[in-house]
Amino acid sequence: MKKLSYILLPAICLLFGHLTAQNISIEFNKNEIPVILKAIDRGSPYRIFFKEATLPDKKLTGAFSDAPIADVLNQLLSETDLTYWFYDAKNIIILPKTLIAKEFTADYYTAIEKTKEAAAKPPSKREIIIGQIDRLAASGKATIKGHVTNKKSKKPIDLATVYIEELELGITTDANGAFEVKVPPGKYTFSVNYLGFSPYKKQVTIYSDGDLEIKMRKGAVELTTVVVGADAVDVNVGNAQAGRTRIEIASLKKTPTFLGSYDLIKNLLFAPGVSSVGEGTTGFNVRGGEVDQNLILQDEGIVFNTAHALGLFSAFNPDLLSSVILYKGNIPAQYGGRLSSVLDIGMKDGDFNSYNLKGSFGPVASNLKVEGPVIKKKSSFIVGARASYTKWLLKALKIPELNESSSLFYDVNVRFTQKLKKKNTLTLAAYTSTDNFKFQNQFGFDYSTTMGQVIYKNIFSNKLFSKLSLVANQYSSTQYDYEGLDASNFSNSASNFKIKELLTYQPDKNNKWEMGFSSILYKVNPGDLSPRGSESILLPKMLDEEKGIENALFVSLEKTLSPALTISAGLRLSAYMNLGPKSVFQYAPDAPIRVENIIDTLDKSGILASYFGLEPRLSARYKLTPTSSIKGGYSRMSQYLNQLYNSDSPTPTSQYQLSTGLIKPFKSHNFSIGYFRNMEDNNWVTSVEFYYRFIDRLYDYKDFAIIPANEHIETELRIGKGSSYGVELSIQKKTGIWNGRLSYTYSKTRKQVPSINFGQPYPSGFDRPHDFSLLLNRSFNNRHTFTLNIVYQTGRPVTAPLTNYRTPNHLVIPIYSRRNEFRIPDYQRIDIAYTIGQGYKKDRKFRTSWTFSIYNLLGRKNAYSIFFRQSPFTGTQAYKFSVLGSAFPSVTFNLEML
Amino acid sequence: MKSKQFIFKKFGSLLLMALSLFATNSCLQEIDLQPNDEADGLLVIQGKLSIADSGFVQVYISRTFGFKKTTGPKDVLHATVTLTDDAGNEMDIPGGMLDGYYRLGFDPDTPPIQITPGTKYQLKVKTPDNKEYVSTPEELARLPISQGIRIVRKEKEFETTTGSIQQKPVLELMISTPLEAIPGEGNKKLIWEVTSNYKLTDTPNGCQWEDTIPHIKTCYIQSLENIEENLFFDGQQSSLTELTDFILFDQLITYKFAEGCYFTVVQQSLNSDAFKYFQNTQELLSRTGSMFDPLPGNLRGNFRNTSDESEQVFGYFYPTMEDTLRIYVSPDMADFPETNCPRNLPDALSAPNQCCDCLLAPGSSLTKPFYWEF
Repeated sequence: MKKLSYILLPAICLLFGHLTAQNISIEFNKNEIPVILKAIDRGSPYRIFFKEATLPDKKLTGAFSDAPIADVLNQLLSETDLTYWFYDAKNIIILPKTLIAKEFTADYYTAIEKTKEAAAKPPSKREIIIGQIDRLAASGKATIKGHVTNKKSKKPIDLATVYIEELELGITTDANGAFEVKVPPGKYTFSVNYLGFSPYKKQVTIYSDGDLEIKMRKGAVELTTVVVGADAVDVNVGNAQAGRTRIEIASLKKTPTFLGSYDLIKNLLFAPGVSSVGEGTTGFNVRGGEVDQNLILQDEGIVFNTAHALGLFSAFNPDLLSSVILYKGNIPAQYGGRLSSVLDIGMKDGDFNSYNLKGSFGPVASNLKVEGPVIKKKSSFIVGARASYTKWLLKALKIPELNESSSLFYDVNVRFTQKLKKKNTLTLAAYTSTDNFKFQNQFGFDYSTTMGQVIYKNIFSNKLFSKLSLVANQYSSTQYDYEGLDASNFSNSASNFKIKELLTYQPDKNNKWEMGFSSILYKVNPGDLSPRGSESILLPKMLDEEKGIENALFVSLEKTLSPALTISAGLRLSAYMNLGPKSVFQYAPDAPIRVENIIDTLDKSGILASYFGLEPRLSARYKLTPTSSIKGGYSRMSQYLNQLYNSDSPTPTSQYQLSTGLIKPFKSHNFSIGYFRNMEDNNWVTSVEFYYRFIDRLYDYKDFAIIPANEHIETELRIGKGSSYGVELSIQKKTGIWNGRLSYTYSKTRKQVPSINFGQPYPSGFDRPHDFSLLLNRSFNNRHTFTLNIVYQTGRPVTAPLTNYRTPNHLVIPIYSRRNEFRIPDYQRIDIAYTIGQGYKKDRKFRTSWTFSIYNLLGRKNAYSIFFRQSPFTGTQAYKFSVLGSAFPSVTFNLEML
Repeated sequence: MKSKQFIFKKFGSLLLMALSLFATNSCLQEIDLQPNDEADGLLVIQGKLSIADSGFVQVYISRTFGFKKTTGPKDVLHATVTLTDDAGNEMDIPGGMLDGYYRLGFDPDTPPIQITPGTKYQLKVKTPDNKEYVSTPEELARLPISQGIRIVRKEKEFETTTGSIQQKPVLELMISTPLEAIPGEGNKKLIWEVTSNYKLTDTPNGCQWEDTIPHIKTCYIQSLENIEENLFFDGQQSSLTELTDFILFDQLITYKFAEGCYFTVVQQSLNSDAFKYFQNTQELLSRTGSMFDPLPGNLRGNFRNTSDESEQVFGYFYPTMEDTLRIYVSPDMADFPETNCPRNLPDALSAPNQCCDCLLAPGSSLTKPFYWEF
């Protein structure tokens, strides 16, 4: 192939001086065709791709002076079965005449581009080359048939995980140790793992169809690669769990950004069944659930707040993520404590072999990540940081009110991983995140998370391994009111200490047990209201700290009963205790829980209240065909920690509330069933899933509830029940020139609480019956991608004014409708992005890429809320408040140094 | 002082500006909503028993009306209104012949029924369609007697339409009052009503109808100042025992002060339930639509239909003690602002206006209020 040799052949003289744009001058005397082609390649602006073995041994003599390249090639190839094809103005491919007549797909041309990358570097001794460029199928994809065997016994290895890192594509071997995958030509890293065997990792250059033999040695296995391994390529059909969504990390950097910041949470909103109240709000809603009904885990640490800048940006650094899985249906037994979903975010270990630095630079904030070995192959570190620079930008502006304001957020992740005795791994990780906001000298707020965790992974045998984790975490927030007689600071916090042991036992390929325990000690400061400054006349209020401990034992079994049928059954037994010391109000028996019905206040210590939860989890998958299956499941969930907010959605400064003797835990039953089908060799992934959730205990807020610093918070809540149901449709095309995802959800979410809405059912604030999103990528080649997002959602329910009355002193008082009786206008948004990806030369010391995006392309002013105001001149007028009022173009520059 | 719930609402209104710090260009827009007539015509009963230098009961009975209605509320006439105390004593409140107002004034020293702090009072209303409504018994709270009000002239920053900041003179109205009615009894919950009454003399120059005006008149124009919000203070949430120069509101200096103006402040005491009602009312009036806004609620008053508990009845009846204070703002205190008259308008637009005929101003009267000394 090209550039195999740079030996100058004196018999060939290429006259550079006579070179024009298309023409060349060359003389050759009894030279072989490959030698002549190499000389042209070397001495002219043209790059010629050919397979030496296909060229005849013929020796040619000739001379051309300022001749078109086509003339030269025509003569060289005149007596062969070969022809040439201009891939573009400067790149020429020599290939059999039979191939050129075919109708090539766009993938083919992309594949040709990939061959340049593959050919750019001479293969190393450890590199495997598969196929020939002239054998590439017209589809532009190469079919690789692989075979994984035990090197010593020569026996095939069943269910080994084969993972192509660059494509984030995984597959498992069958009973014969075989696998098959279709990929575009290029250079790839194949990682193969199987419990009890040393990991296999090889560079493979693929030109066309071919075979790959992989021989694995018995040995230690890094648990991380087992646990954080990629999904099998047919996971949509094959996995036993319904309602499980994996977020592709690689796709994050191609989706349009808001002000240049890649955002995990905004990307998550494209998944079916996931929505949010609107821009500028914290968190997300899954299947109609509240924001605080999602358990968000960063490794094993519970993340209370996912947002920077009130929700305009997410708190996760995308450069540090290794895997993101959302469980919204049948939640595995190892997870609990929330009703709606679990977002399991796995963080990357640092590189054990080499150092590298990576950064993204946007108009509002920048990311930086550095990683590398501490002791090569033994231990590694990774440090990632993000920060906004709006604080300095505001100072630079010549606008007085902005000069006096400040806005800043940052987050830092530090992670150290040590391999111990080959089999075990110890990870120490720390995370801190801070937001600080001040508007002139009028008000401000800040909120921060500090978290540390220790994770110890141990492999006892090739069938049994464990993961022990210890986590300490604190989230705190403060609102500041700087002015007036009521100037104040209002602080609240929630912290937890967690220990969890997860034991995995896999005696054979058909059985996988998971068991363990977890214990979480929560400490919640519901509110501390204090006067600010000497002028404030506010009475200070400090509520008692609340404590609770949530213990859980869990066990689950995933069992393959037949090639078609797999079941996963689990049981989680949770026990929660509300702990003292604390002042507890005693309300008159059989009387409503109101302040006027308090009959005593007791100072109590020890266990104040305790609750148990028996939480079965069951799911099953039945394969109808190799590419289609039906899955269904049921789970019972309990929730002992909630967030209190009497607004449309929680804010980062909303306080937390543990279950108490008067505020009982939430409970839900979750059912789901769906049909899943993959097509075209798992490139098309489709599903339709029905769900139903019944919450047999929840609370909502009475009208005009007062939440902050309220020591009688139970008097503001009303207990009831709720339900949600819906159907989720997802169609995803994973690769190809056009790829992307279409999601549609139809759902209904209802609450029924005595004394609210006259006891009648009403929609929850997150009820959006129609939720449609389309994420479409057009890959012009491997570097250039255009992305289009379209989002449509039914407007969320609101309580709106119906009528009004006038007071004798002419105030006009609005009368509001029943709760959530009306809806704000529907939400629509279109975003676009154009990504210029990294260059093909992987051996460069640094790589750059750009993302240009426009968020809210049409500048649509989507309503966040509707409210009414009156004035003496205009009377009563309805207004809509839009968080975003225009289109937001941005540019992000990404840099990676190796 | 407002509850902390309201303090957080300040976050909401300012958040609109604050979001601009993230360059999000958030915005407010007027929108047209289809009026919903289904809830129009519901009964509203608003009543007050007031004890001060004079005593009176005022009840206003009307019906709800839609936002887009230009006719305003429909009054309920010919109802029977009775005030009772917790001992069962009653007095009828006459009125409702021409409008929805029912009034009875009395000498506080010789009231038809005993009016004393700590006693509970309630209102009974029988409408012409023979429906009976009754309010929950409400306790009359004692009132701290205020020490006085005063006016201070200050410069205040305002944002112009172009976004720049401009200093403009304002008058701040401040009150000083103890919060306890009786030392040791505890702080009270207070609410204030502020009205202004300013003088305006006809300026016929430039009026097309100059010849037809019989003579130059002087009018006294009264208007409610806190038209967009209730002014209240929860003394029970304060560490103070008295308020000193507590700012009730500030007002730009305009032509209103060119010939002199009186401010009248009526300080009232409220019991806890009534205070909560006004607090809730204020919450609805000051919504900003931001993510910090508390959810709106269904404002329930303290009336019910005695034979149909499910009927929605709005409004509130409360007893209160009142303390009235006045202050005069002379033209020189306001630095002699211009009168805004005559108006230099094109002929086509020079319709009769309040410069030509001061009686055209809303709230205008030729009767000089008894407290006017100037």
